[in-house]
Amino acid sequence: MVPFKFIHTADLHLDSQFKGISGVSDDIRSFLRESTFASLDRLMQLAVSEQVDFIVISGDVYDAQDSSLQAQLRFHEALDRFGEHGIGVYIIHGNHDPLDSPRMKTGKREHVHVFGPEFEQVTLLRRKDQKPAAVIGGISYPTAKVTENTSLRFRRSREESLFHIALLHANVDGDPAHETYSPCTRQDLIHSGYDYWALGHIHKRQILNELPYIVYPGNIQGRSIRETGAKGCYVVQVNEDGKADLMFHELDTVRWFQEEIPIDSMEGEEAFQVQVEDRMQQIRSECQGKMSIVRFVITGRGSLHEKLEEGRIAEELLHELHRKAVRSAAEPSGFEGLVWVESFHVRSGPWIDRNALLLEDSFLGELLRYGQHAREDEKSRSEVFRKALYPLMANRELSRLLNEAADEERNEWLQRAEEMAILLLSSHEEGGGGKIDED
Amino acid sequence: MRIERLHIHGFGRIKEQEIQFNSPLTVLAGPNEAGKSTILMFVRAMLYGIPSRAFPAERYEPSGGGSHGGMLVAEAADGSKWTITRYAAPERRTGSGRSEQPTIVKTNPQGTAIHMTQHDLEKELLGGMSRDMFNQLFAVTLTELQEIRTLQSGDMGSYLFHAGFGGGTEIVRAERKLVQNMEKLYKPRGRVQESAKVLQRMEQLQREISESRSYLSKYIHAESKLSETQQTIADVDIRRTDLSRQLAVLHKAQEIRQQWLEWKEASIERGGISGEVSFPEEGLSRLERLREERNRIDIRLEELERALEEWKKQLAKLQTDELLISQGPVIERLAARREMMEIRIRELQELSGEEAALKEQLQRLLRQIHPGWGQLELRSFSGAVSERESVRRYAAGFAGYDRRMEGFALEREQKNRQLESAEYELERAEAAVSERKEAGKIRFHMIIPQTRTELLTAWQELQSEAERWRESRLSRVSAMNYEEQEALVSGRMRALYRKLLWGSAVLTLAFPAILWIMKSPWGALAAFLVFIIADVLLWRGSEALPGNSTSRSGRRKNGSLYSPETGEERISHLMSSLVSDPLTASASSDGPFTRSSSISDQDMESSLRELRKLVDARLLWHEELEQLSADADGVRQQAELFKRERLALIRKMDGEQHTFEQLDSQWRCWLVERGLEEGSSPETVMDMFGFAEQGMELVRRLDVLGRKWQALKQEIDAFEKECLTILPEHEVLDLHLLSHLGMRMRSWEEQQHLLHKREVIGSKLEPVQEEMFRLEREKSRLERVMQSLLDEAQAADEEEFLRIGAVSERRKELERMIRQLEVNMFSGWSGDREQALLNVLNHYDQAALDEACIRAEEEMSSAEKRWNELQQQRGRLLQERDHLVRLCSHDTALQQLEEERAHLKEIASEYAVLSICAEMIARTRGIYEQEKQPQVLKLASTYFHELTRGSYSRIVMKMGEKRLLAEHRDGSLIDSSLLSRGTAEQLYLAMRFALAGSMNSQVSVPLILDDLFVNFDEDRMCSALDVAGRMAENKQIILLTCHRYMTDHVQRRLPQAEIIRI
Repeated sequence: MVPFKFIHTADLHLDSQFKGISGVSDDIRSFLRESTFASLDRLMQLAVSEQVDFIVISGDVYDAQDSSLQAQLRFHEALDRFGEHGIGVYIIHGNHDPLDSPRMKTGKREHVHVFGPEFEQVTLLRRKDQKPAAVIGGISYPTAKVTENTSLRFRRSREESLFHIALLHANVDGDPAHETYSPCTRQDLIHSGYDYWALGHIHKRQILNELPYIVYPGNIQGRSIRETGAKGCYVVQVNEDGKADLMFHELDTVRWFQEEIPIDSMEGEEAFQVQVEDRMQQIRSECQGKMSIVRFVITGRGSLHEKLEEGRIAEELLHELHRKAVRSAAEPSGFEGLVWVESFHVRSGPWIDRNALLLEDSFLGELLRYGQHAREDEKSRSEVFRKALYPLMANRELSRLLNEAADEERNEWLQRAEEMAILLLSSHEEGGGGKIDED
Repeated sequence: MRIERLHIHGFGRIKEQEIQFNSPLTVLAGPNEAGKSTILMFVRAMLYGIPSRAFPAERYEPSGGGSHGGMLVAEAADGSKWTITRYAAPERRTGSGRSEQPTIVKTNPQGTAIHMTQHDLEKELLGGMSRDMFNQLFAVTLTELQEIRTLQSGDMGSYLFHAGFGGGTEIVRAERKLVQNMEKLYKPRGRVQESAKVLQRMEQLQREISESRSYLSKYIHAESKLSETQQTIADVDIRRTDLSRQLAVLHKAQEIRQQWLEWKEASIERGGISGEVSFPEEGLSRLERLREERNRIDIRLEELERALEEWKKQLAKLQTDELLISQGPVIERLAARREMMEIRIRELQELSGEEAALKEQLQRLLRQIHPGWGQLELRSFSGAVSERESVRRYAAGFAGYDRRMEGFALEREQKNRQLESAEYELERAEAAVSERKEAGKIRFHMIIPQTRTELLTAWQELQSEAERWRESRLSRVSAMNYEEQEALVSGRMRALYRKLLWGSAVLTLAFPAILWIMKSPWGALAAFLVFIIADVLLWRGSEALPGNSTSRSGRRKNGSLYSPETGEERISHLMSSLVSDPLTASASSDGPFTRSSSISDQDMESSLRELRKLVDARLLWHEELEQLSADADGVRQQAELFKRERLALIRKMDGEQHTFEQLDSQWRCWLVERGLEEGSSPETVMDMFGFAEQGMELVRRLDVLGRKWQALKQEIDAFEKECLTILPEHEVLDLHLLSHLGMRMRSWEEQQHLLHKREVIGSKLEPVQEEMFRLEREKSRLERVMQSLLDEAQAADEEEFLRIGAVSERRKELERMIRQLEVNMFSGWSGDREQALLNVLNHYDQAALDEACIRAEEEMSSAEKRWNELQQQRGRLLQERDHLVRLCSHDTALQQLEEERAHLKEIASEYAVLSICAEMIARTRGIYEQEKQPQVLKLASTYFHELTRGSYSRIVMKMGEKRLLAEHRDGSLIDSSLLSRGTAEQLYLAMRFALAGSMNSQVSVPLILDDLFVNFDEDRMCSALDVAGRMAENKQIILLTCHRYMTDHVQRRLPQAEIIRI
């Protein structure tokens, strides 16, 4: 076997949007938009500097539903530049860019191979001496929804001794966080006889198996709070014995963080602000030269909760931080070390013993008990939600948004609603005589 | 709480009324319009504020005006006392500000008073009860009792059912707040909510995005269209080339068709000419040339012969004169000299003119020198230098004499003048002396002493006497001054005394008169006397003064008796000795000098002064006189001197005159010697020298001229003689010799010209003859050549030669034409194309060819058009593609949409939280209602049972429907609305009692019931009273009624009740 080197990447999602952020300036918006392309550039630079023989892209190069011309143009540009450096590119199409989606037709490129809807294999020649180095099998999504287990079509011919790489866009073992397309199991893949499963679709980087390698490289640029942490690709070195050596390389331009801030022992607003700024500084030092987006999740129970809910200090702080960020983004190289706060998620509660309340024979006790019940009982919960969200459902856009909300999020709402009720109903002292309604 | 006291200052009809509540159960009884309901309203107003003017029915404004309000004193459960005072503001104030200002004072059991707010009042004293609830539950009128809905309102419900949890208001408030917040975030079909704005923006963005989404498909479309177009362009290009080639062939064919036809024809004709003919190269032209040459020579020969004839004729015409020719050179020479001769003759004439002029000039000169002089004398007069010198000497002698005489005459003149002036001076000086003397005599005639010394002594004497006189006068003057001053002082004193006397006199009369009037006659009398005395004294004083002054003046007169008279006399004596007639003297002098008498001192002084002046002048005059006589003596001496000098000068002049006479006689001798005029001066002689010299010059020139004239004359004569030789004899006398010569000369020249012409013609004849000979030779050579040419072409004669020549020429021409046409037609066309061209030409006639050509052109232009269109299309597509690329690079709408979506999501989740919270509260309330309600209903059922005396057993509330039902004894359920009026009212009363009872855990609010029992029968009313009595154990109850039977019943059944009649 001849040793060779390649890059495994997937889910480029070029020109896709950053979800969940708002209030950005035009500068920042342009920067965010450019980030996926910047990551692509970085991928190319890496390929050149690592002198890889080829690169495999396991689907979802762009989001077909966005019909972004920019994405396609830039991707083709990148392909051309790979070609300039003599690096072969092997592409399959995934659920976001299936073959039937509108695609730009381009001239035939020698160094690019796009797999068709039927399984096919190509033998790859090493770049420096044109010796056969590997066999790459792959299959593209003809349409967006592929529910067949296409991994079963990958079969290795016994007599071939070359290193075998499989390109597949699939949800292995049915990750519930992603759509279950091309469902297959780890066993299916192991039994195929391929040496390296270059997978795509799941955006979280993970190595499912080592012999053979079953690898999700994750996407190259996180675009929502669900895609936190470093993003990039794997550089795979295959030695003479057919042993693969994986090395992760960061490619992301903007990195996502989720930070928890417990308010249990926090006394005042200042402490909260200091805490937030400390965390931001931490992030800044953690990824210097990059832009970061962070979501602060406020947890715990404490006196600060009331201020957060009523006094809206989180909102004000957010505005202030946004303003600062916008200002610094307007400066030259202002994006290096820029930290954008996506939001403050209030999951904290007032300083009341919830468990004691649960046992109390009072209105609040009753309410919390009902909440407990609803969380456990699907039917009553959905009833509550249906009733509560009914006015919103009248709007198409809102109803779509709400339908998209995950259970987790709904539970969060429920939780917050309970905390709010506690806050509203527990302040006996505040209540008193009604006003004189003279008019 | 318990209401203790009401103090109504003004409310409705009630004014200044105070009601004290002493018992827990109070019945206020009174007829209609007594003010029972007013009291109820007053309580409401005191606790919750006086209703605004918007509710005039509930406001109870005092009918007659005045203060509107009052005071309520209540005792709280904890023993503290609340005093509430409220007054409605008398006049409406602007804005929505409260129209009243309550004073709420809470007094602790310990006695401290605290000011409280309405809020505190409601919270502490009324247990957080709302106004509505108080109105509906505790201070109830009949109308309100019957309002079924009052029990079913949301507020009431929650309050009632959730009494266990903070009084229930919090839940209501929480729900309200949630709803408010929710509405701020979202409202279906709302427009101002944030969500609505976000949604609007999203819609906008979505529109943009649907536009930008189309970029890709547009791009792909453009791309495919582009490649398609490019393909088409290539196709069209090929077709275009084909067509253009075809068209080129056709055009060419069309173009060369004419030539082709010619070519075709020529080819055929060429085929017709058979065989080879040997014909000399260029035979025809050569023959032609030869023939032409021959003709030319013939013509030339003829011409020459004619010319020869002509020349000969001309030559014969020209005849010559032999004599003239022999004389020719002589004439020529003479003619050449003729000019010169003419000049000589003129010169000769000039010379004779000049000679005459010179002679005249000489004559004049001679006349000037001496009338008797001729040329001879002139020649004998020698202008030698020595003669000139002697003349000059005489001249110098005369000149020297003149000069000296002139000098003496001048000197003499001067001396005469000096003498004259000196005499004049002398005369004047003498005149001045005598004049001075005369003047002195007139002026000083009165002065006696004639000499200086006498005068001086007399003057000194007078002066010393005058000194003495002055001294005595001075002492006299000082004494007189003193007297004058005294007289002045006394005058003043007298004036003063007179004034005082007048004043005291007035007083003397006035004062006693006043006293008399003042009724004291004695006093007046006394005063009168006193004043009189004073007056008298004063009068005396004033009188005394003038007396003094007179005495003093008398004394002065006596003291001035000194001897001035003697001094004066002496002076006058002296004066008279000095001046002969003083009066005339003083009159003649400037100042007044009157020696009138010895009386005036001033006069004396002035006379003295004048006298001094006079004496001084006299002394000065003496000195001047002496000076003048000395001057006159000096002048006289000078005059004498001048006279002597003049005499000496006259003697010198006489000597000079003598020497002059000698010189003059010598000069006269000299002149005679020379034969000159005797009177001539040496200067005239000197001029004569000049004239003689000029005359000599003229004589010389005359000699020269005479010689010259002679020579010219000789020359002219010789010439003339020679001329005569050449002239024909018979013409000699006619004309002047020289013009004859000219005529001869001209005829000679003509002859010469003739000769020349003959020569020219002769020279021309020669070449003509020569050429004629040459041409003859040439001609015979040509004949030979021509013959050889004919031989070569095997032609018998020239005609035949020509015919053969023409045939051969034609063939050649055809060949050349064919060649040329071929070149024209096919040059640049390769073999197959040429073939195609020929095919076309062979197969198409002119019309067909034109048609084919037009067709091909049309096709070509359509292809061209198509090509252009395609190119344009391609350009458009490229532009569109680039445009799309540019557009997409700045397109962030999707991201913006995502941002808006995130924003919306935030709002939605916020809303969701609030909504879920509200929903959960609502649900919990539902649970609560179900669980808690029965307790109230149970209590209400017992009250209802009692009130209806067992007719009805239970009150049932249907959940969800919120309807109240009554369960009859027999078990049937009757809707509250279907009950009889009384029973319904009993049901509601029971409910109120139950509610009031079940909620009084914290504070007990008094129940005020305004005639609620009117519709009850007696039994049921008694039952109601019993219930009320029982309730009064832990709650203050105030019943208002207008029915006597009711008070009667109360008195009977509730002895503890206090009845107040209004």
